[in-house]
Amino acid sequence: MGKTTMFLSSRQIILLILGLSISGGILLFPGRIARVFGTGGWVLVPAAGLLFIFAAWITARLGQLFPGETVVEFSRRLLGRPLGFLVSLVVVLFFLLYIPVEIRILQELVNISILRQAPSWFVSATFLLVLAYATAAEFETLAMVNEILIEITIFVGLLVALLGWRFFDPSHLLPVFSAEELNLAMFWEEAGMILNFIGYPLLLLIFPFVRRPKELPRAAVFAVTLVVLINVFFIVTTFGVFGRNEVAEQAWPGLELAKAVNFEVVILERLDMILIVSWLGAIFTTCFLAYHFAVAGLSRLFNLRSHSPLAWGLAPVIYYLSTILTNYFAWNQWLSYLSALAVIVGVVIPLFLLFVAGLSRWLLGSSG
Amino acid sequence: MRRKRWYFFFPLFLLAVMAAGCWEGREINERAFVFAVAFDLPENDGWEEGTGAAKEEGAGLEKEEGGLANGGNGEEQALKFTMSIQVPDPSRMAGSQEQGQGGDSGKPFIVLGTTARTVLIGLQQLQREMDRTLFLGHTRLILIGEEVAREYGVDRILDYFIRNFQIQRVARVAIVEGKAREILEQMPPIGQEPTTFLLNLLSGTGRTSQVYVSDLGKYMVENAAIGLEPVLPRVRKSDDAILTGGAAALRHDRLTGWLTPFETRGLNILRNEFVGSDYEVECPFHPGDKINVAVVKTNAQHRLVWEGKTLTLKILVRGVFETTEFTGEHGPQEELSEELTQRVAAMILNETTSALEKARELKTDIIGIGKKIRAEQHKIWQEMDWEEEFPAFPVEIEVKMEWAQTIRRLG
Repeated sequence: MGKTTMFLSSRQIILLILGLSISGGILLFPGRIARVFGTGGWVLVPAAGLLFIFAAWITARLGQLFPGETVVEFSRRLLGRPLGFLVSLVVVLFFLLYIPVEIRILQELVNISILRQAPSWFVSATFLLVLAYATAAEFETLAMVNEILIEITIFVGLLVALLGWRFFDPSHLLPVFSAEELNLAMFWEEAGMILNFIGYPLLLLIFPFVRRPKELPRAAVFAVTLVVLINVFFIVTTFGVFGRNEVAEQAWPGLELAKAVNFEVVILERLDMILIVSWLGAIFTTCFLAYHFAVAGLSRLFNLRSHSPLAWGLAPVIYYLSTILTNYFAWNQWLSYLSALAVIVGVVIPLFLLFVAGLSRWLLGSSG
Repeated sequence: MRRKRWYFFFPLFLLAVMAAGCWEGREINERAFVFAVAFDLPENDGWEEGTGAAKEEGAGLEKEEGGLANGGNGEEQALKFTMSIQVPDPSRMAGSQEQGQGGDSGKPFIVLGTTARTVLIGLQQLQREMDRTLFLGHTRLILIGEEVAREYGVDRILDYFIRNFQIQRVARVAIVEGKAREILEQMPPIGQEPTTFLLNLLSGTGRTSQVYVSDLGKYMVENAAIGLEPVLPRVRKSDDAILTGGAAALRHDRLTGWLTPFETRGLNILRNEFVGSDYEVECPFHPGDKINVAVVKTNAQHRLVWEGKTLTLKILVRGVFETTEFTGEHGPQEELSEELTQRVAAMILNETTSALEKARELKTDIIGIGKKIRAEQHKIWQEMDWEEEFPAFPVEIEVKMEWAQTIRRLG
């Protein structure tokens, strides 16, 4: 983030939040919901979404209180240098740790569909090179690339889901409240689902670039509402097409949906391939945004003049972290830990900072 | 300036490296496309050698070499099945100079078989007979012999196919009355190989509604549903012909019995999968004369209602028919309307009732009554032992038909 010109429009902010939220996780999301919450999960998701919509609004309000500053600066002012540094580091860590797991998801998607025997080092390393190259560019460029890619992904995803409605059976969405299907013991295992809602913490690092700060809370609420609606739509569609039991058995219900809507002997026979190719774009946007905000946060934290060397320098670290996640179970566990971190970054920190900001203002006001 | 050059040349370099081709190129002539797979019980209890083309080539299979299938530790082993695959022979396909040359049969495909305990081991054994890599990405047909479906269950056979990302959910699955391998070997009356021929038949292209149209994906969904048992289409060999029509009802993934083509049509009506069919009814005015009608669409509405303290399923079937052929001296007449409509409705009622009765007889809820109760009356469902209660569960079917009266000739 070299320049601090205010270029981000509300539309770009919405798409940035969508770009970070919509990733490989949405292809797994309905399965997680089915396993933990059962058939009624499609009702619980919007309810849970309300919490994150509120948290997004809180985060945006923070930005309004500290115009022209990121979390790195205002957390220091509010909490003092050491604690502020720690809070900023946690935010940066969240973005940084998001990348290896998304790289692994991408690699798995590539291996199960396009290049079955391509070695993981090749897929991960080439993707990471492109990511580092993209991250080295200016934020304004990234915001524009995100605009294009995420719109294409959402369009293709919705198209595939809509085509699935040919097989939709409403009885698959019932019974809504069935205690026998609740399996909360599995929640931690499937906690990665939380990440599907948490793209808005990027607000903590974009306040100085927002063209109209007044519109920020509205844009944030709109973006997260959209994210929730897209997730609910995918869950309702996959549940309606497959039924809860079948979805619970699937590792990639999103992909299975695309496979289910394949047309026999017509031009677009392999819709799953089209979905995968477009979804690689979604993973790319998630990764380069996370990468960028990790690098931008670190640059601000250590007062670096240019973020490009850091972007390239972090690549081997990210690559190493991605190699730790050797299989589905390993990266799934990583996602659970990351979700815990996401709740801290997306809910606890904004609430805490807003509380401290309010308290300090009140104290200043009362002391005259 | 140097920085700008870097931005320009680096993406070019990446493109040159990555866009030049795929990582793992496969030549098409190095692949053997498996179009169809069939499963049967072995003829004898012991090891069965390779059959078909492999046998002729003298490439008999050796006994499993202590591999995965054996378990190798004295544990109880899974039962064996014979697995046959159909692979097209491009040199004998239409238009080829070599058509009809060589070999014994001149068929544009070969059928290879082996005996194994798992699909993967079977494929490995068959691979030893082929210089090309067996590729199942284009497998469109999985045929399961009735003995296998009865004794082993369908799930065990399909396990490999539902886990392999290469296999498409739209691959057709059917239960064969008799030996499944015989279907693979049978030349169709039209076309080059039985797979495409059979796929067309199983896709309901004839629009008789006497075939239950299903595929791997649909089977998985039906099998996973609670309160609904899966149905798969039936295929059988009769003299030199392949016959479809009818369906196989399964419970706990085992074959429980067959539905006749007419019962299957009734089932399709009850499950709203009816795509149209022709019926022959007696002329209301002239006994002995026949009127053919085409039922073009039906819609079955399922409603759970309480009649006193008894939960009942009421099914209202509405449909539209057209008259297509008269054997008597008169054509469509307005006076016929009421009586003809009643007769068609009676036929539909008869068929749907027979489908229901067959399901009850087999104790297999292929209609999905349990699924509806579970969805809409969940508390009641939890108190039910559905397998026991299904055969006696009260169901009322009512049929209302309409004569569309699309008439070309009155006489």
